[in-house]
Amino acid sequence: MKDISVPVEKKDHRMKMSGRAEYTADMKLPGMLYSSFVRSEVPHALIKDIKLPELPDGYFSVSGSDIPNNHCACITDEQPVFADKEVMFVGEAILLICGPDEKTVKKLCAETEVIYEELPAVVSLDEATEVALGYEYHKGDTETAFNNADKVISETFRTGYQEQAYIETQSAVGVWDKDKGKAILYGSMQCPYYVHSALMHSFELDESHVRVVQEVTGGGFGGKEDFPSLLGCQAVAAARKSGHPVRIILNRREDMSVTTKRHPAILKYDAALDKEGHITGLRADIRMDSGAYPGLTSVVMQRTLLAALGVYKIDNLDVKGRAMTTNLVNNGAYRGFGAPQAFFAIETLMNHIADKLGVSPLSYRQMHFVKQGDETGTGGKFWHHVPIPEMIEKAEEMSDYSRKYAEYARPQSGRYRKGIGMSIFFHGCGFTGSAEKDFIKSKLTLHKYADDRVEILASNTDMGQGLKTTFSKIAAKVLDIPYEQIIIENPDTDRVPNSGPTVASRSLMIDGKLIERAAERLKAIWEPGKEQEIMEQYKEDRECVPWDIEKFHGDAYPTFSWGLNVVELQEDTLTGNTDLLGVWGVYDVGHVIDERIMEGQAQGGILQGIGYGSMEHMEAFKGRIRQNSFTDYMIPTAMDTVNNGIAFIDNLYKDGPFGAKGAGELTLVGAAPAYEAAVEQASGRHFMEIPLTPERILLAE
Amino acid sequence: MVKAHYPESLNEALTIKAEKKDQSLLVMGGSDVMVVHKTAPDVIYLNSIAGLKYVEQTEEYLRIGAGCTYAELIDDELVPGILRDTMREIASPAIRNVGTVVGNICNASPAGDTLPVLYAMDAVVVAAGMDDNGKKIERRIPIDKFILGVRKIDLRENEIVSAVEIPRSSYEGMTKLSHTKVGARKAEAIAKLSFAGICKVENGKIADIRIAFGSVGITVLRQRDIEEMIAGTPVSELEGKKADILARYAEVLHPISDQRSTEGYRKKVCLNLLEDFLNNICE
Amino acid sequence: MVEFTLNGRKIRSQMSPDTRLLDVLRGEFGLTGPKEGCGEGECGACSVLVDGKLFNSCITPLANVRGKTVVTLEGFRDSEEYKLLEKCFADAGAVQCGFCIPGMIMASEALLLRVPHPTEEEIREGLSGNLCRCTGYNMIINAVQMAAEKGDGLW
Repeated sequence: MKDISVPVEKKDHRMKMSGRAEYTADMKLPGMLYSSFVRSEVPHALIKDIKLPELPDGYFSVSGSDIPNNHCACITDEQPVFADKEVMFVGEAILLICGPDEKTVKKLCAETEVIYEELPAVVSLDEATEVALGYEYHKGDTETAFNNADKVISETFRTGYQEQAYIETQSAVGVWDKDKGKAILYGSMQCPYYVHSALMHSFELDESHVRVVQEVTGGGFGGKEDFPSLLGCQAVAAARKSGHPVRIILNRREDMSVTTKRHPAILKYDAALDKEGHITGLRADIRMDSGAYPGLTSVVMQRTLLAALGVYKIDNLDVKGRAMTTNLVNNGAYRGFGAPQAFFAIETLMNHIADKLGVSPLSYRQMHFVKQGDETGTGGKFWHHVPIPEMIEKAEEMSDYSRKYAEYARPQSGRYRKGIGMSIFFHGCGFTGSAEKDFIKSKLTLHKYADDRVEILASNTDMGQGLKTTFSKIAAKVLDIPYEQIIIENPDTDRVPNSGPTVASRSLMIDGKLIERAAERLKAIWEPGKEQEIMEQYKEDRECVPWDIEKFHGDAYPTFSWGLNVVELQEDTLTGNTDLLGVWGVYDVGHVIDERIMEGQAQGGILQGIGYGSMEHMEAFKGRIRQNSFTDYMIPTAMDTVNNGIAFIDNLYKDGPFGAKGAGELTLVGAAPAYEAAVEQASGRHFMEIPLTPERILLAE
Repeated sequence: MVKAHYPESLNEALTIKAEKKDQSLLVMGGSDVMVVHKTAPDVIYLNSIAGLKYVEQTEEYLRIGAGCTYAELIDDELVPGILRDTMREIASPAIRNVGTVVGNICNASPAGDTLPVLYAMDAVVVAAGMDDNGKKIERRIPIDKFILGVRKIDLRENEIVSAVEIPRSSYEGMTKLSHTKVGARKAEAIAKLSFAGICKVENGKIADIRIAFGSVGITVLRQRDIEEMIAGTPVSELEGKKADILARYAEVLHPISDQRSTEGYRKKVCLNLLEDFLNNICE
Repeated sequence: MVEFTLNGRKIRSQMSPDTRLLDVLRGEFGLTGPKEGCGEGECGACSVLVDGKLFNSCITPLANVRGKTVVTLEGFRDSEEYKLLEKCFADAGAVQCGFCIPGMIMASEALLLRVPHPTEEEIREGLSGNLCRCTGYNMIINAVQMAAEKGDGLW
């Protein structure tokens, strides 16, 4: 049989190509009502009064008082499903108005008047003083390192919002089964069981009285990790009140204004250098904008801190992070989950130090790379092979980096100037810390039907990353049956066990492994023509330094995926605009389960990362997201990209299926610092902030 | 439900407009009005008027009918290259299939992509109307008088813009025609700023020069006083005058900061592009 | 009431002439090919062909297709051209979340109708009004290139 990496036609290819795939907006249920939100217009205020217009027959409004427990559960449950007394940010939901005609519900929302008593509001990270949460860790003796330093270099970096910009906006349809007293929710989402828990929590139901079904999902990128829980509670509240199915579809401007984004951050770094320029000590002090409610911020920040020292071995560390509460929209998950901020900072810092020491950025990095067996910043261990040398070799071969770096380092003249930049990075695979073992406890089932087709019953979702295909390939390969004989549907919590959320690049590595094991067991008992079932559950039996969140110590991840990006560009010195000349990515994701799918992940991740570093500028202005449309928030078009060169290093991971590790997020993490480095070489300047817009490049903000 | 009108000739459209006046809305491709959900009790859809789809040349003028889409004009060799280049950079293929140059003028956005070039070419807007006796009348208004402000135009309630005229002398025989749109990405970008420069060098002297900037104020900025000051300058003396020219433009350029760019960037890049134009005036 | 030809069938819409064509297609005629991604003509998920040209149905008033021929993915997906595109998009791995794909297919068809053998640059431009966030632009471009080569004579 062929290697598992050989591409196959995706399970959902024909359905999506032909327009037959049913996304939430395509659903039609009998008696379904439309809805629209009344949202806060101010960043912080008490709600004094709400003046509704007269509602025609069949129209009604839904508020927090319609929900038994008006708190939305997502790690914490501070955020109300509907703000009832106080609004904490612009765009927070106050009411949902529902009825049979879409235009009419919008009109009724526009006619609703909310009377506020405005309160002082914190509308930027700079002015924030309230710490929502924080972590820190220390290693070695930083004080001595700094006292004995030959040189100390201090720099402060800033990173902005990034919007997931999935092309399908957030959407859900809530249904209330009156006879059974059961909440049913259909929607675009990454994590059906998160929505399931949130519905149980808000409507005080046991697990058999909640059903969540994922519809075909038009992109997530982290943006549909936690927000669907809130939307789900809102939709079910309306359905429960009216007895009708109620559909919520956010419009683009609403979606961009009120849904979670990548956390803006300020990252202050001090590096102590010895005479040879080695970094002997590093201090990182990171502040992130949590938004009004913390949501996923604690876990995002953990990952930021774990990535703060990059791919380097530094013996003396003080790493500290604080998430600040603001009266701005909540921040949450976006592919990379806190790591892109840290890698931008550390990689740019390395470039700047190299430049100050007059050595090339690559040779300076080479003085510090970690290798297998080294200790991590938190006292864990790099247990597995670290393929940085092979990755550099591959990147040199593809991009001719070092020759071009030397060429562009010579003085340039004329309107257009060239530059090339490199970044090297990792992504900790799967959940941070011990969540997999302590909270998720993933379970999944292989069900063999009498006709010998095998269904994978798991709660992981395919949002475009090809999970249905990769899961099916693993099962088919182990069972040695045709891939077409494997069935995998969108998860429905009434049918599938909880195999965890589709986040953290965990699904393939963790649940893919469970499929591999279950398939091995099924194969051993396989009886043609007989219905059979195997359940498999996550077990942790690998060697590790146990993670202790209190001490922020131990192995935070079972293993790491590794990446290297090179960006080559030319800058127009008149406008500060850049033209990409070449983009390359070399990645170690263990063994690739499907080359074409992985290519798609890499292509997409790199371009999202370049967008993050270059054009994707979003800011809150007076508490309001200013670039809240596809007209004003710039994501790359087909004309803004070039033919990226992508390569993979085969580095088998024994605890992943067929040797696979986490893959999806890694591809985004390093593109922004590589882009920035290329601009720095072209322009001959150092920059401290992304997105590195032409305004910033020309120092004309 | 709105009342829709589908006139098949300009006269028919003018008759309806004369009757419905400001209770009616004119729609050609619809790409601007649909985005802002603009409507009226009576909507006059003009795209069935075959008679508005033409490009013709008189001795003096190039005349572009109000029905011509960008996509059609991009392929029309009668249309000056600089204007076609400008239209190639507008939005996306689907928008270029419906958007029209007359629509771009009438929308009167400060960021209208064709406007700096049209200003530089002294384009004239032809507004047709019907008088009380049912007689068709035409007003010809220079573009900088027609556009009054952000989405404000000098169009009377019984009028329809039927064409735009471009003096052939504004591009034929010119030695340099330059246009730069600065956007945040390579397609589907609203201009952060744009620059148009047209000039004629004759016998070693600048015989004619026109400079226009877009997205830097409520309308396109064109300073005839500065242009007149430059005109007549021997090319050899331009270098010496450059600092003065740039300083004069620096004084009149007052862009704003908004969600798309900053005041400082807009101004700096406008001056960079102008300087580059002056540096390369003989190329 | 507005009459036009939709996917080969003469039809009559009862909706107001200033309604977005997208709402007519999805709401009145139950089509799911055209999708709403932005509602302001930026993302191209709602792309359809009007008299063979690419239009954003979210910013096209119903009135503007009066007497014209509108083709959505539903009216294209039984053609030889579609079948070839379907194969090439699979071979190139061009489909990820799929939400932009119906629009991409219509934009590809509009391009190939106009330019049967496009260069890479022409494809990038032809698809420049269709945002893909996943983002498989390069794989989509490969797919269109493949279709143009294999489909010699089809367009």
